[in-house]
Parts: sequence; structure tokens; C-alpha cells
Amino acid sequence: MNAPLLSVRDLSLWYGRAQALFGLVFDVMPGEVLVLAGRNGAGKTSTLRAIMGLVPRVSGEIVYAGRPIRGMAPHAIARLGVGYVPEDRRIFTELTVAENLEAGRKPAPVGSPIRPWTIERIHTLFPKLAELSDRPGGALSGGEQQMLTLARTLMGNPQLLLLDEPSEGLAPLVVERIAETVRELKREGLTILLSEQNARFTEAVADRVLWLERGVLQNLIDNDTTDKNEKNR
Amino acid sequence: MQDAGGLKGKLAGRNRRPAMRLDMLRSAMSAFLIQSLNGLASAASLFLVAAGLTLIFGVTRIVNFAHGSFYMLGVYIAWTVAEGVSGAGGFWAGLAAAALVAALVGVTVETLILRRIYQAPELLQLTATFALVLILKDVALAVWGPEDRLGPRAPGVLGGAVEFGGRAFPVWDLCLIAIGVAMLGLLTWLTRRTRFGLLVRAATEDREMAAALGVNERWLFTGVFALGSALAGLAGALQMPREPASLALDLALIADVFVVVVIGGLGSIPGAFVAAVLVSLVKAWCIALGQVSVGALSLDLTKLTLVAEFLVMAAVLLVRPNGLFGRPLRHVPVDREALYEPRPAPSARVLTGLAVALAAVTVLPVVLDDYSAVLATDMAVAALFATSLAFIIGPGGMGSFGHAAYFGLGAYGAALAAQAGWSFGAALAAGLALAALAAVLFGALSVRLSGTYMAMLTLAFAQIVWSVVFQWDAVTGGSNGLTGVWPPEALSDRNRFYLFALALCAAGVLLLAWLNLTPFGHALRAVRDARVKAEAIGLPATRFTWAAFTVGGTLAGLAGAVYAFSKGSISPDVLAIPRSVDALVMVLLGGLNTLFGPVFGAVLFTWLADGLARTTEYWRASLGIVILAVVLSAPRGIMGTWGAWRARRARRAAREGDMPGGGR
Repeated sequence: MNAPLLSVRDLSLWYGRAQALFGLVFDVMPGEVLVLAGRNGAGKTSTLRAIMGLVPRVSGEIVYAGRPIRGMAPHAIARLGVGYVPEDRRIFTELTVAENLEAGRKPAPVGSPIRPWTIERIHTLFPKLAELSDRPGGALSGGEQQMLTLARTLMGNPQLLLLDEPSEGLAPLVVERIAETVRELKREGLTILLSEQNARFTEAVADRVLWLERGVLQNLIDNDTTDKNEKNR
Repeated sequence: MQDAGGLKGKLAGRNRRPAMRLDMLRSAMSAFLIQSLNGLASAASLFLVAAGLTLIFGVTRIVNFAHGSFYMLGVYIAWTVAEGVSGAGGFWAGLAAAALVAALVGVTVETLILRRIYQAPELLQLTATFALVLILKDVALAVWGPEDRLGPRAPGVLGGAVEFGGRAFPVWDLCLIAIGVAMLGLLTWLTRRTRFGLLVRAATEDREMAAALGVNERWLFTGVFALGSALAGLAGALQMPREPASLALDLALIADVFVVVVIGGLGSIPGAFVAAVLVSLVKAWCIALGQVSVGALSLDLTKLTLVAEFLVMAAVLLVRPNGLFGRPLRHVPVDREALYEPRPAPSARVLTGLAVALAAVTVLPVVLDDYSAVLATDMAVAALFATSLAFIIGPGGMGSFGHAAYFGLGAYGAALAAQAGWSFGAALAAGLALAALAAVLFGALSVRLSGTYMAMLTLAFAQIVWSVVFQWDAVTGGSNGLTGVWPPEALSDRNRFYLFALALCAAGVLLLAWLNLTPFGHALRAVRDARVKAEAIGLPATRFTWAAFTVGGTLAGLAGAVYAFSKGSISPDVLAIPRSVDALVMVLLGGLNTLFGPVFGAVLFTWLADGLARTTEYWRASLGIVILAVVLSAPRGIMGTWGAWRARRARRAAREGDMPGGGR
């Protein structure tokens, strides 16, 4: 078996004095789509934000492509090839669609196996965005924003994509379209860790599923770590 | 700038012959035109400084008090270069050097200090940048001395004048107008058409997201800071032919710039331009109309100039709470716990401790000489002043940057009443009432706003009050202030007056402490910590915060009233910006975390300020360094840091007791 692209060990996280994650342990293998499933407030978003370096109080180990990244600045983590697509999309509403894409543009890290993304390739993947190029980001529909936020992150040529609830609040037809896109990105060679509540969407894209409940991983692939999770409860 | 405009207005209005009506009308029109042009010339520099401030704010969310100091440095540096290098070359080199040096100072400040407080609550940031104002002022004092420095005129044709309707108008002022417009174009191009500008706009809207996309915040912040500081330095250098370099430029300008930035909308460059033009024209017209028309009314209009811009700002904010071109600010995660730890109300045990401490300081007069009694009185007054502000910041969760207004109104109310022959008690009550009235009025407007906007609006209100007091010679004595405010015979002894001041101030502090324990205090903290939830269970949030603001303002007024009688005379200084900052520093020094914090901070600050003022010419810079040290190393204040350390130790001890090696 290959070395994991992302390896999370004993990840705990606090907001003030309230602990939100309890000793998470999991690996993301290169090229797979791993779904982090769980209810609202289970800690899915917190997990992704912690990996991205967006939460200050985190303990444990996060290793990406052999490099420990916990404590690194978000932009440095992004430059190593980790792309983050937030749950609430966070389009730059004052910037046009084209400018949003430009804001996300950065070269691929050296040695990345992913074919570099260009505006043209993005437009092939999301033809709709080509039409909307000069529209302010704030004037897009929810589905269009979801495409844009994904496209914006792709412009940074990530190797690992962190997708936070991509189906949330979207019409079933759009959800299907997003699922199709996720499969396409997987074919491109991207590794994807996504959080999801939607069972059908999960089924459509997942290679593996982890179940998160109240900050604790319930369904572990690595059996030897179960004890650890119990102990840290 | 103000005086220069007034002077030009007077020059322009001279030579009026009581001849034909048409002549007079034409004369009035050209005077109006000249004043308008003069206003536009002032707008150029104002815009440059405001554009820098707004760019920096947009990306870093720091309102940089020291931006006016960069401007001041710009004037001085341009003057130095122009003096050293003769001819036109020196003038132009001065402009370049001013921009460059200001950029360097800005970058140094950003990397050494501000970078550490980007996550801190805005009051902490404002206070830190005010410390920089103090330090830079003393640097300028050390390098250039206390005298004003008048620079050369612009070289060649640019130093001349042109005629408009028979009146001379400086060519350089026309240049300034052109430069202002050109800079708007340049900055628009920079922000709209370059990748740097794109990233600035992206980070202005959502800096966390920009970082997650790989944008290096540090470089972006430093870059923006360099640009913004350079603009301020350049603006100062451009003003050199119009006004002398002086140590008072920094605060005089920064208040104007705050107003412009708030009117335009924080973060908006076109907004800064429109607002700079608007404010400058309103001021210019006040002068023009005051000069043209004859009679008692004209005086009022020219005197309105200081207040006019703040009135414009208040009007704009009432209609558009985010300024003309501003958007609602995306919430930037702020580490509130840096300032205080949310926790339950203080216990009765703490109150008992306070009472014991009080009893101890009551016996002080036995051992005090006159000087120490005066200092002790100052400490008591400061303690109430600081605690009243802490009530607004702590349980109230708001930020007031103009708390001196209420302190000063209390002082002036009491002094005026005393001069009108009111009895001692009635005069104190009058001061209290005046402060309460102002707090009710200003509070109604400002408690609706959040964070930075509230801090700036409260500052603006304080400036209005200050300028009214400063200019209303007939009533307030203008810059001379009021004298002969003495307590009755029975309290004329310093020690006795100290006891009296102590009793009143302690009562005020205890009242504030007790309010924390009442249902009102509980509701207030609920509103602070979870406003939406508090409103959902039926608590009228705005009414509570308004009440808290009023209580804080009123008790600051009590402190002010006592202060007036302790000094015997007062001047507009009692309600100027530095005094507001003093209160903030006392609060931060002691910390908001404990009940004793602000009292402790006030005592320490008063002692420190007294000692510094007596030992060094550079007491401002020394004070600034102390402030920076507190903000950077112990943002929870001395008491708060001590408390947190004790709590950590207790927790560790408890953990080691039952669970070896666990936890974080």
C-alpha cells in the first residue's frame, strides 16, 4: 500500500475551553475520495479547518505529503498543495467571477502530478462560469457560487482538496452535477477529503466513509487506534 | 489647515467697497469660489492620508491612530530636505524623501508591533497605535525641536499665484487639486487593474479565505502598510508650502481623517475621496458664508467649521451606518479572551475585600503631606473615571474612545454652576447631570454601531464637545478655561478634600461593582456574550447597552466634577483625545478581568504619569513605551495576567492530582 497523502494523528481541538474534537486518527490515501460524514455540529467543519490551519487551538499531528503542517500558516499549507473549499463558499462578492478565479491562481507545488489548471480548463469543467465572467461574485445563485468556490480553489492547483459540505443547500439537480464534478476531479488524480450529511451524495462519490459523532470518530479503518480515541474521550 | 483657510478667507474678503450691489455680488461670488478652491486643495491632502488609512484598515482591520504622525513626519522631512538641498531639486527630493521615510517607518511599525495584535480587540489596537503617536511626537520633538518650521514655497511658477475674479489664488493649491485627482486615478488603477490590488480587495473582504487560497497575509499587510504610510508622508510633504511643520499636526489631522474615512465608508477609496471633498467644502463654505454675510450670524458660521465635519459624519452614519460607500464589515475573528475572560459576576467576598482596602486608604491623610494628598485625590478621581469606562467596555462589551467628553462635561458643568453661584452640592449635581445628558444623547446614536464604527463615533462626539468648549469663549472661557472653582471652606484643606473625593469616588466605584451583581448586570453580560440569544429570550439589547453607556458616562461626569473642584481651574484639555486615551490605558493597565483591575490601573497610571512628567522631558514617549509593553505582553492587564496565571496554576495542580500527563 502507498504512503498516505494526509495523515492525521490524535487531532484534538478547542474553542475556548470547550473541546470540539477528541483525538481523531485517520489517513487519506492518494487518489481516493474519503467522506467525513456526521450530523450538524459533529466536528466535520472543524476537522477540515484544523487541517487548513484556520483554528488556533489544535493539538496532535497533521502530516501532509510527509511534512508536519500543524501550526503552519494557512497560506503556507495552501502552497504545499492543500486546497480548501469552505462550507459557506465565501465568494469574494465584490470581485467579478474572473477576478475570483484570479485571486485563487497560484502555481502547482514542484512535483505535483496534477495537470495545471488554466482558465480554459476551468471553463471546460464549468461552462457556466465562462458566461458569468464579468458578473460580481455576489450576484451568483447558490449553485453558481458553489461552482465558483470550487473553481477558485482549483486555480491554486491543489493535490489534496478539502471540500466542506459541497451539497449543502443546493437543488438535487445541482447536487448531482457537483457529484459528477467530484468524480471527474478524482479521475484527474486529485485526492479529496469531503464532509457531507447527504447520504445519496456520499454514496455517489465515496471510496471510504468515516463517521464522526460529537467530535469522536466512530467507524475507524485503522483498528489499532480505537483505544486511543476511547481514552481521550 | 484651519487657520490658513480662515486667513485666506479674510484676505479674500478684504478690499470690499460699499459701491454697487452688482459689485458686491460679484465679490461675494469670487470669494465663494476662492474658498471652494481652497477647500478642494485641502481635500487633496486629506484624501491622500484617508486613502492610506482606509487601505490599511480594509486589509488589516487596524485603525491606525499613528497615521497622522506619519503625515507630520512627512512635513518635517520635506522641510529638512528642502532646507538642506537648495533650489527646486530640494523641494522635489523632499517630497520623495517624505514618502520613502514614512513608508519605512510604517513598515517598521507594522512588522515590529502591529503584526502581533491583528487578532486583538479594536480598543487594544487603537490604544497601541496611540502609543505610537506619543512616541513619534517625542521623536519629532527630539529631532526638530518645539518650534514650528515653515518650509519654502513651491519652486518656480508653482510658487506663484493666479487671479480669479480679481483675487489671487496660489498656483500650488491648484496643483494640489490636480494631484488629488491624479492620485485617485492611480489608486483606482492600482486596486482595480493589478494583481496586488486584486489581492488587497480580496483580503479586505475576507482575509481568512484569501489566506486559505495561498495569499501570504504578512507580505500583503506589510505592502499595504508601506503604501498607506507613503501616502501619508507624501500628503504631509505636499502641505509644506501651505503650513508650517508643527508637533500638533498629528492629532489635528487624524481626527479629520477619521471623519473622512467613516463618512466614505471604511475600506473604500472612492468613498475617502468623496468624503474628503465633502468635508473640505463644507468647512470652506462655512468660512466663505461667514465672511460674506454681515452681522452676528456670520461669526457662528466660521466657528462652525470644527463642528461641521462631525455633524456631517453623524448625519451620514444615521442614514448609512457603514458610510457612503462602505459595506457591512465581515466579522473578523477577534480574540476577545485576549482582553478578558468571560466569567461570572464577582462574588460578595471580593466586595468585602474592596471595603477593607477602602478603609485602609481612608487613614492615609494622617501620614500625607499636601503634595501627596493632591496626588491621592487625583488617583481617586482617576479610579472612578477608569472604572466607569471599564463598565462600558467590560460588562457592556462596547468600546468608547471619547470617554473624556463625559469627564470633561462633568468638570465644566460643575465649574459653570459654581461660578454662577450655585452651592457646592448643587454644582456637583449639575456636572453629573450635564454628563448624563450628553451620555444619553450620544449613547443613543453610538450604541447602535459596532466595534470600530462605535469607537470612531464616540471619538468624534468627544471632538465635537471639545471644539465647542474650545471655541465658545463667552461661556467656557475658550482655551483659557475656567478658574476659581473652589470647594467650600470646610473642604479647603487638602487632606479633607481628599477624604471627600475618596468617599464620592469610592461610592461611584462600588455602585458600578454592585450593578454587575444586579439582574441588570447579568442581562448586560448576556447581551454582550450572545446578543441574538439574549434578544430571542426577550431582552431589549440596545436599551441595555444604552443604559450601560449612560451609567458609565454619568459616573465619569461625577469624577470630572470632583476633579474640577480639586484643581480649582479647568481647561479644554479635560475633554481632549489624550484624556480619553488615558482612561483606556488605565483600564488596560489594570485589566478588565477583575473588579480591582481598573482601580489598580488608575492608581498605577497616575503615579507613573506624575513621576514621568517630573523626571523626563520625553514623558510622552516613555508613556507610549509603557503602553506598548502592556498591550504586547499583558493585554489582560497586570491584574488579569496575574489572575490568569493563578488560574492556570490551579488547573494544572488539579490535573496533576488525578490524571497524570493528560490534557493538551
